[in-house]
Amino acid sequence: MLQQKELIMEVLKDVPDESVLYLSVDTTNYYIAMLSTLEYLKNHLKMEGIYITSSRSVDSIISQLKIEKIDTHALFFVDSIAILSESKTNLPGVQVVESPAMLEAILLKVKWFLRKLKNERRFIFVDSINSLAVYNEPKLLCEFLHIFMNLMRARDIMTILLSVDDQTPEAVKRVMRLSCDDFMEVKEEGVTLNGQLKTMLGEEAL
Amino acid sequence: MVERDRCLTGIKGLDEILNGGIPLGNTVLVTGTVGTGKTTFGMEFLVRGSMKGENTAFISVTEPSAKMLENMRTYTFFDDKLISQNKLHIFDLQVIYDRLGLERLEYDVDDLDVLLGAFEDIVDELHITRLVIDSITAICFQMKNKASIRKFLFNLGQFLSTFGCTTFLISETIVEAGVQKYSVFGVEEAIVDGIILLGNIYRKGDLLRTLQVVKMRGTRHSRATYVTDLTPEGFDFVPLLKWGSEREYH
Repeated sequence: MLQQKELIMEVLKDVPDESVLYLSVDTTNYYIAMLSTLEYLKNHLKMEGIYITSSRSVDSIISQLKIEKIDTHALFFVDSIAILSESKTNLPGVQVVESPAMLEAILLKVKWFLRKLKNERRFIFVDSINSLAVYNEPKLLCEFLHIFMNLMRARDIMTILLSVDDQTPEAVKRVMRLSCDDFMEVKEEGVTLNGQLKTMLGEEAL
Repeated sequence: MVERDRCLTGIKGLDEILNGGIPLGNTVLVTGTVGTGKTTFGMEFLVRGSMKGENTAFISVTEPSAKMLENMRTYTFFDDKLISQNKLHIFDLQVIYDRLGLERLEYDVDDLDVLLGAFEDIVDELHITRLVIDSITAICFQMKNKASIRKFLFNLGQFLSTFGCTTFLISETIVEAGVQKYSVFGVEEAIVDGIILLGNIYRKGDLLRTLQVVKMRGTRHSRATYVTDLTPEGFDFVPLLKWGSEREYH
């Protein structure tokens, strides 16, 4: 029998390297989904990546990753919450954006880091769409996501858009469902990828 | 249709916005309010040219060049070697004024001819292909009237174009009744070949730096507004999100 963490990593094996993935989670599975995905991308696939955070500041994320023994080498951060939360802003490998409302500034920092990444296998992890939605109107966030997804797709970069389902505006969900290549849901009862449910007991179709 | 030769600015993303660079010899008004990065934008334009082997010149009007250079050294694109190798020339206008005996509050027609002659000598003798005057507004303040400004800028543009020198005239600008003007005197924009507007957009308490090419003779170009980032490596651009583009200038 698989634990939730192994189950998430098992399902991620079926997601192609260049996919744009909408990773929808319920509140109780947010941390396990975030940590398991990072562990899979960094420790198993050895990818280089950019972590965009608007939910928690980078110093707390790095501490968490280190506790979980997740490799933080060649992992760069765009932090749009550090200034608002009065957290550390001068960490190496971190670009700070003054607020999550400055979506274009987030894009600019991502572009800046992309020029630094050498590995062809690259990912971008957005944590999280629901926290960006706190600071941005849905129509603005939808526009941002549309541009962001196309930008990453054009560069063949694996893109993971993490969002807590019940805190995500419906309009934003619809754009992600429409535009993402793959849709993964992590819930108490199991993990689905594009409608295919995997539980800790085995696999079943929905 | 015959394409004009281009000056590739080398500033990331700008040549794409300009559909292949600035038409060679154009005089461009780089205009904006305070804190929009006009001086750095002008200096990056020169440095990128010097790195390709061009001779470039910066005429500093509003601040001592030593102070301006101290600020430039915080950018990784800037290299002092370009100055020692005589690829990048820096002039203080105050020094030029002293040498020409132009120490007065207001210029007459003869004074303006002397000043133009000095600029012409710099461009001709040093084979300058890129020039930045920072700022043209400060020079224009010493002219008697709009007609003098118009004539000075017209003659300046004429000889720079003849020499194939692509020029940025840095202009300070003002906001009136929520509308950003292109210049203080209102005549500069009509004379020049191009206008690049650097601005600020206010969104939920934050200021986003922006760039828009309003006019550029001799090329098709984007007229969209771009958000800019002033990184240690220079300028970078992404399109302004349409739903977040309500302009509020501060």
